[in-house]
Formats: sequence, structure tokens, C-alpha cells
Amino acid sequence: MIEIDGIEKTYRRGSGAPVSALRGLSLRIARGEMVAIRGASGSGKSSLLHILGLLDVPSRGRYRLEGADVGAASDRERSRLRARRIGFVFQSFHLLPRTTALENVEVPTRYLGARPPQAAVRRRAASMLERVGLGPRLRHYPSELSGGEQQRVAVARALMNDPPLLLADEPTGNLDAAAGAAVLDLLLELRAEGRTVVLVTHDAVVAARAQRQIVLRDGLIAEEIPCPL
Amino acid sequence: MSPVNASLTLRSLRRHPRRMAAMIAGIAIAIGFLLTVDAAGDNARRLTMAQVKNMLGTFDTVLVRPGGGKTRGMVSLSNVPPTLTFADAEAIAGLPAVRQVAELQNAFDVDVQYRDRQHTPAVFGVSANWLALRGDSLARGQFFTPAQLAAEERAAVLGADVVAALFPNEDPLGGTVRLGGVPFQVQGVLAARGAGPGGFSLDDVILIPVTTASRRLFNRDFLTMAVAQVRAPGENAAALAAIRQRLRERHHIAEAALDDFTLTDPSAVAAQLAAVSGRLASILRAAALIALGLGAVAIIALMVLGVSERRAEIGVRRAAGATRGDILLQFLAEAGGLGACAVALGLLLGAAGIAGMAAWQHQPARWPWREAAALATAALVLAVGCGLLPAALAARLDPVAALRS
Repeated sequence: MIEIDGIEKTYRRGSGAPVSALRGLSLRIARGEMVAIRGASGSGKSSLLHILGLLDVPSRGRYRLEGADVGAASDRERSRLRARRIGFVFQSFHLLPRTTALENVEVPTRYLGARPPQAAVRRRAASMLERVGLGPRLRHYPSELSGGEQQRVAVARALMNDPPLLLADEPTGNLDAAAGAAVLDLLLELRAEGRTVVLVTHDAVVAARAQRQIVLRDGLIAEEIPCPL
Repeated sequence: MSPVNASLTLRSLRRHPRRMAAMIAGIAIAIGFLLTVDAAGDNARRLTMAQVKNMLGTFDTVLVRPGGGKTRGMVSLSNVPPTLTFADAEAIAGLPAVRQVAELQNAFDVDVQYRDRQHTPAVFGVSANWLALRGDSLARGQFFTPAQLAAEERAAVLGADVVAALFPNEDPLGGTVRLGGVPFQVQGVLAARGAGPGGFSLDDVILIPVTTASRRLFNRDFLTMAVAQVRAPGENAAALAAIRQRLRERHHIAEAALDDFTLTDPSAVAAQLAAVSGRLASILRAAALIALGLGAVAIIALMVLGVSERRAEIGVRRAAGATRGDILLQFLAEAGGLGACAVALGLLLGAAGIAGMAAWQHQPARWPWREAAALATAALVLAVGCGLLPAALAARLDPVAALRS
């Protein structure tokens, strides 16, 4: 699914010295795997996730997504891949305010190129919300939903275009233990369906439920821990 | 391919109702103002033109009055120099650019009596072509014939006000009125004409043959005015130049000397009168442009603010596959939506203004569809133009930075 070789990412902040977030990191993630990326803040785990998600480009190194070299892809091409192949879940949910759960879930279909008919879009959004257990809350606004429910709406949104790859950036970071566990269960179910899930977290308990843990330190892989189960 | 959704666009606009009001107010006010001002100016111009035309009968004339630059306003035998003669009028009538010339000798100080009633209307000694040249008509009776002019007959045609004053309960036709003691037989009544510029009545008048006026009433052999009808309608300026040249020759005026007559193109006068009301209009129009400018600045500033508040949304959309172009389009569409709301409100304001002005000016309301369409288009273009900067800022936003907020 994912092959990266010698990825480097260097940021230039103002006139200060360049900061290296990633220093020649290589990683393989197989289709259907669930991988947790751990590390202290500043270890480069967010940079890695952004590069994997085609939101950012590496300064150096090679990235092959589903066999295709995407390191030099244009903005348009990367956007197309994000729309069709990658779903994102964020720590702070990032739902559109004053927009119902259904309409939030429908947003990614706008960027598919050829948009399916609205009725089909609505049916699919409703079934995605049912899939995450929010069937009775289709027309609620984010302000009317708990944190856990909002994050499940965000998961439904990530699934809307049926991407094979899900990227989650601290998906349980803003949730209490019970809600966090529910979201994590959901991600595990999705992985069981055959999707590839990459999860960034600093929570060892959450990471421990992944198939494989990768611990970053100073922009390099410090440790790889296979799932004990 | 539809990164833009109308209902979502409207919702994002509704999110801040006060901000939205600030963004659309300027453009809406400008549209409403411009439509109202133009309608009011248009009404005033029509009214003025109608009044001037009512007084002169036709615009395809050049008015020739004796006296140089000092001649102003209404002329009469008591306030003009004796420099415009019957022979001058004939000479002007001989010009190729002139179809015919009507002669006028008028006074405002002649007492008119019928039995024990007395009235002081304007007395017009006119040539036989007066009625036809002006396009006027008689309500009753006959106008003067050339034979009556030649015979210097004491015949009179009365305006409606004079009939009302002297013949309230009688048939005026065949009656004998006395003008300064001289008896004239009434042979016609003019169709009522209403008001001229300034609103005074054009019906308070008695017409008599100009020859009779000259030799049997006033004993003056000069004219107060000659009305030259232009042969080619609209070519007043050329006729005016030809008349000037002919009169200067006839009056032996040296090259450097000023005219001893005054030529007036009535369409130019009417345009001047209409332009007076146009000055207020141009001030209001400037105010509308200022409102438009403020509206544009408000749209740019508040949309830029909106972009910085909606960084997370932009980040999410980019993550969901939106290209920079999609984000640009989305914000341009929002600017367009703002423009459409402003146009709708502006057209409503304009319609109310037009209706109000029409009622106030006692004119039928005229709906300037073309102007409204042009203003609406311009406002939409302006709004989308104002959206360019915020939309470009939104599109250029780095998705990673946008999501970090």
C-alpha cells in the first residue's frame, strides 16, 4: 500500500536555521494493515502523516502509494488521490459548524470530479452514518453532538468516497476514555473490512491495539513493535 | 464537477447575519440610489420638455427675437427694440434651411372687454401660419385666413381662460370683444393647452391677425418674435447659423460687432432646464458611487476575515480532495452569492424609489429594465471581483497550516 524510502522533510521558519522533521525515514505498510505511529511531540509523526496523506510533499525521498510514485505529483493529482484513495480523521474533528451531520458527511463527494446524483449521495451519507452508529442523528448539528459522536461523524465523512487508506491524527486525543475506545473500535472494524489504517497517537494504550507500532524519535524510526496479540 | 453548492454557499453567508448585511448594504444602496435618482431625473426631464414643448408647440424651430444679449425671458412690444421687421421675417423665410416663418407681435398690457367684463390676457398678433406651425388646434370656429391678414380684419381667436373670464355663460363665437377699445369679432376658440414652464397658463391669450395688430391696434411696425420652422427636423443648429448670417447682413452689423438680435434653439433651452435638475442627481450619483466603494471594501475586508476564521474548513476540504481551484471557486461563488443578495435588495430599493418618485412627481412610473440589468451585472462582477483577493488567499493556504488551527 505504502512504500517510502529515505524521506526527509526540512522546514524553513522565517530566517532561522532550517529544522529537520524527518531525516531519511523508510517505511512499508501493507494493504489491510493497521499501524500506529507514536512519538513525543516534535518527533516528526505529524509531518510523516501529512506526507503520507499527500497534504505535504517531502523535501527528499521517494513515496509510492499503491505502486504509483506520487512524490512529484501536481496539486491537482494529489487532490484527486486524496479525494478517492485517502480518508482523514483529525484530533479536533473539524466538522463544518451549522451544517448537519449528513451534509458534513457529503462534503467529500464534491471533490470526486464527476459528482453522483444528490439522491445517491444522500443515501450513501445516511448509510455511512448508520455504519458509525449515528443513524438516529442524521440531521443533528455538530453543536448538538457529543465529542465522540462528532468524531464518528468525521469517520463517516472519511469513509464517504470509500478510500482504501484511512489516516487518523490523534483521533482519540480530544475524547474521554469511553468515547475514545468506541472510535478506536470503529477503526479496528474498518481495518477488519480490509482498509489500511494509519494512526498517529502519543497514547501507548491506543497504540497497543494496532497491529504494529512505530515509534519515531528525531525524525527517524526508533523502534518497531509488532502487535502482541 | 461541482465543488460549489448553492445551499451551502448561502448557509455560510447566513452564518454571520450582521456581517452579511454590512457586505451587501453598500452595493444594495448604490443600486437603489442610482435607479431612484435616474428615474427622478428622467421624470423631471420629461416634465420640463413637455412644458417647453407645450409652450412652443414644436422643437424644430429657431426663435428670433430683437435685441442682443440683453433679451431675456418673455418679450413684448414694451420691452424690445424695434430692430426685427416684417421684411426680416420674409428674408428668413426665403432661406433654404427654413420651411416657413410665423410672425408675432405681442403685448401683456392690453385690457380686453366684453360687455361689463374685463380681463387682461396676453394679446398675440400672429400670422396666418401660426396655428399650423405650432401644431395647435382650435376647439371651435375658424383660424385667420391669409385674406383676413391681408385685409387687416379685426378678428380674434380666444384662449380657454379668456373664454372662461369673458364668456362664462355665453357662446363666444360671433361675439365682439374690445381690445383697448377697438372692437374685434370672435371667430374661434383655441383648444386648451395647460401649463408651460414654471406652470403658468398657456390658455390666457387672445390671438389677432398680426397685420391688424401692427396697423390698427399697436401702431408698431416691428415684431417681438419670429418663429422660423426648420426644414429638416433636428438640424436646428445649421438653420440657426444661416439665420444669423442673413440677419447680420440685413442689419449691416460689422464683423466685430455683436448681434442686435437673439436666436434661440428651443431644444437647447429645454436641455438646459433639464440639466438644472441634473445637478442634484449628479451629487446623489456620487453618493451612490461612494456607497458602492464602501460596499466593495466591506466585502474584501470581511471576506478576508472569514477566510482566516475558516482555515480549518479550508484544511478539511483540501484533505477531502479539494484542489486550490476548488477552494478559489467556492469563495468566488460566495462573493457571487453576496452580490446576488445585494442586487436583489438593491433592485427592491430601486423599485420602491422609482414608485415613490413617480408618485411625488405625478408621473407614471417607468421601469428602466435595461439600466437595472446593467447595474445588476456590474454589481455581480464587482462582488466577484472583490472576492478575488480573499478567494486567492484561501486557495493559497497551505492545507497543513490550515488544519493546525
